[in-house]
Amino acid sequence: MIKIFEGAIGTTLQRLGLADKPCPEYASVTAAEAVTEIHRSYAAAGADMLECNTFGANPLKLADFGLAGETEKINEAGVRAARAAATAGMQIVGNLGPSGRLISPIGDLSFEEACESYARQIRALAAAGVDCLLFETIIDIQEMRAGVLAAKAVCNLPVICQLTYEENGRTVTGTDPATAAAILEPMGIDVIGMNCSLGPAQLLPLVAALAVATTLPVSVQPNAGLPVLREGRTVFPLSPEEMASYVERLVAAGATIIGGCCGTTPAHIRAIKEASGGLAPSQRRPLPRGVRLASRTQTVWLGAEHPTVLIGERINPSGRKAMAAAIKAGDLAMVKREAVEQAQAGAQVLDINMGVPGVDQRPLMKEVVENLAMLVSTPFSIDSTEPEVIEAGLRNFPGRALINSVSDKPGVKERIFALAKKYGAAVLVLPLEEKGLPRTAAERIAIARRLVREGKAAGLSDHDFMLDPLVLTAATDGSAPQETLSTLRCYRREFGYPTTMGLSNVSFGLPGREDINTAFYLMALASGLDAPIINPCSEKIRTMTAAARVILGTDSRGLAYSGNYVEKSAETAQPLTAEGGDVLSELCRAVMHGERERAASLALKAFAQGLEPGAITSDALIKAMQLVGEDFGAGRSFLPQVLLSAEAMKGAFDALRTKIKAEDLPYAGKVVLATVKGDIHDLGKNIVGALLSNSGFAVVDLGKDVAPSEILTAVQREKPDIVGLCALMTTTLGSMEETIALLHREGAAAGIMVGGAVLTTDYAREINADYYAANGVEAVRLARAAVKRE
Amino acid sequence: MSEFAQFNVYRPMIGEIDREETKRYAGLKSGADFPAEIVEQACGKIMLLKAPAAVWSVYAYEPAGAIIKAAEPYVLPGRSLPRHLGTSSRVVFLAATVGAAAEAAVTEAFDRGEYALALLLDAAATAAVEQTADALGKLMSARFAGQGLQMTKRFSPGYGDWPLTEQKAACSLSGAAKIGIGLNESMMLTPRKSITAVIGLGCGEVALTGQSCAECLLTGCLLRREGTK
Repeated sequence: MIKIFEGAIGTTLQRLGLADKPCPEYASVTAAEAVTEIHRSYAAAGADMLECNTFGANPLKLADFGLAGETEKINEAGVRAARAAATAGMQIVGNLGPSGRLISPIGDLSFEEACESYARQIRALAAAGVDCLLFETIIDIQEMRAGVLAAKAVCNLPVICQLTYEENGRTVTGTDPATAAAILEPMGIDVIGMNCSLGPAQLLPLVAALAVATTLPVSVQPNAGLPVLREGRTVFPLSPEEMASYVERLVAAGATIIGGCCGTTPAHIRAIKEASGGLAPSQRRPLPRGVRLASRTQTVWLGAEHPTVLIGERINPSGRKAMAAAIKAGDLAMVKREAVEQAQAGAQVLDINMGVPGVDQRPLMKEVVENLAMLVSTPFSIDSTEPEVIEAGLRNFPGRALINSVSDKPGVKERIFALAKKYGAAVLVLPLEEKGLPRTAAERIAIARRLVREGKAAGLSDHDFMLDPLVLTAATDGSAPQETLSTLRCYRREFGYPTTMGLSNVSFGLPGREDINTAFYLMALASGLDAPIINPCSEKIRTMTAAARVILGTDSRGLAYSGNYVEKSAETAQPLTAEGGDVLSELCRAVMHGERERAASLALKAFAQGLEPGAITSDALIKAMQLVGEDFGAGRSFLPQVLLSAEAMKGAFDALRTKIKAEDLPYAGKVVLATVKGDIHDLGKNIVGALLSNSGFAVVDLGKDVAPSEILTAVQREKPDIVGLCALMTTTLGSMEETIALLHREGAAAGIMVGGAVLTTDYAREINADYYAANGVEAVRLARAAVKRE
Repeated sequence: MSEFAQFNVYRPMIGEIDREETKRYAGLKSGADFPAEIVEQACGKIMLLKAPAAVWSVYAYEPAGAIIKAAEPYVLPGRSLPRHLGTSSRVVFLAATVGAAAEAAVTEAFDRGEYALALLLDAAATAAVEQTADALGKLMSARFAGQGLQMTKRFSPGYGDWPLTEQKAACSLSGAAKIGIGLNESMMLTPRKSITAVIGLGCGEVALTGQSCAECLLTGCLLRREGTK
């Protein structure tokens, strides 16, 4: 049977003028009968589940109205008002909305505060006797996780979780329905769904996407269409009949609990109820075999039926002194870089191990997990032997992580299984026991069997286990690699769970380790390895994985593999500067194309051929910059290209300087440059300086935020041909004007050139500047002309 | 009625720095022959150095008097901003930044003589701060769309006749200090890669047109979108 929720309450309260005294939830206290009357109208319309007027009755939100202290009272009143309208068989649903604040690191609310706020509201709802809890209109999976953890901690009530999706099929913070299911279903919730923001037409495909990704009942409460403006007012356009026309399709897509959100009325609910009469829930397909892990934004499947997944091993300070030292010093830059590089190299899961001696790993794991989850979108494997560290990682990861690992260690394994259950994590089973290293496949299988049995007794399912076959060193035990491969085959036969292992142990003590590792890797893939823990940045591993996917049939007909080759050949086909001509024209072209190394070696070649430095400079380098400048002026080339040429020219100059004295290079004049007082921008000024010095000018750069008096002193000391002043904002033009006035008053002889985003020719004239340069190229041209005139 | 706490912080996840916007901010028009690896290097570096954060506050707004109903009411000076906000009934003041580490990288690259990379790093940081503010805009629109509220585009101090000196009000109304944004005596934000802005919210005839390249008088601007007259 299809169950029906009630529709919008807030809009009715608003119409009755009860929504802002001071908040809709408080109406349950001050106008209980009116609230009950709204519930009655929905009950009469056919709602099976009445939603208490407690959407915003969490202490964090109530605090905005100074009502946090009345949390219990408001929730109790909300439940009572609904209960008064209920008839036999109706369920009373404790409604829980967002706190209005985002959870750290996305927002400034701590995860623990969010949990506490929900826990307090849920305790009040449970005490008042609700039949189940409904989290709705949640836009951030981390807030939903906080709510579910709070619910599980304080009561045994069934939990319904509804997120709000945008038209791109994701929540505002990036979670898609399938990923929400991957994260929330293993946490032990009872119904998963969506509400608000979109109408039934837009939610239909999202319901379908959710239903194939979960075995749970699916609920949906659409708005009455997308809001439109009519006569200056916002209205939700769908009529009850129009809304009801989607019910059959929503049920076919997998929904079994249907209601309405913004813009729905008892008439809508009545129409929905009628449309749902006689509809049978659709047949749902079982989930694919395997284990899924998830980050906030994506789901990764592991297992025999899925392509090989690389688990990046590099965030691990053991054996990496530099990383360990950086972590110990509180510097996470290296860890972040490793995360991004591994993800870019194709790792789909990142293993995180923070085992640095002498460091409290709990806060560190929390910090690293929070930071990396903002940077990469791969799920994580939390790698630690200590349950407290594992929990710090799981709790703060906005996704479904893998625990790496659990072994047969009494006193610890129980705690790890409990953590996996609580946080909905998957767990990697490592067949180790205290009495000694299991040498044979048979011994390992026996341990794995025991651990899986105990894990299931703790509430885990077939979708929660991964298995490690144990990799020992070939150099000390010749049969070790074969036992590992044999274990993989047995795992596949007996359990069918995805397998994973670190490879590199096998080659310990042998030369040419990468070859051994690669051979072992490929054989392991053939024996049933699904997700190696590996260095994904290794070129060999990357290419071998791509090739192996073709052989294993997970890259059908080698399409992805061939794709890599197409990209590669495109990369190598970059155009090079045409060869030929004399060395000076070659040099000129090299500078124009911004080829720094080539320009340097060509400059030296020209010098070796006996050409004068002056000729090299004027006939190749400066000529190149002039041509580049012309292209720039004509809109044929752009500033970054001009700067590349400037770099190439600097390369050539620097090379020449090693051969001759500075005074033998051409000298175009002297420029004093500064960004004026109050202005802290200097990139533009720096660009002008670089272009000028590459054109033979001696540049004295005074920096940014330079006081008029300081500029005057420098001008009197340096006696430049030109003073270049830069100001980026209207607020610092006054400072520029003041500087110019001072220079004129003190009779500075230099020509004054100004530039900057907000300047114009007219304004430059107004403040008595001699030249206005719209850009760096123009500055060089003007400076040359000015010096010539003198 | 206040629906939101004052000075809400939002640190969006930015998965990629927008390559196309980075190139545009650097002054590279489409089709320009420029090494992709420098763009990649710059975006990759900013990806690691950025610390995107935004903060916002919602205020009631009275269009007739152009009054922001803050604890200490703020009367909007000039005509551009009131025109931009139209009949909005509420406004959001926001500030966004990518932190100071990004701009230090620009200076370092320049000092090493990698001028083009420095320019691209600067542009990538600009793209990142825009993406941060855009992400906040998406969050706002998601929150307010359900109430049928429309949003105007962002409008910042210095646009139209809203003077830069009002940066001070924009900072305090948005709560910019909460994410480490300061203001110097010339009304420049620190870190440099920061912005403040206001967005109008309303139902009905909110002016939905905003500041766009087509309306801007700086026709010679390097950043003017291609195809804009």
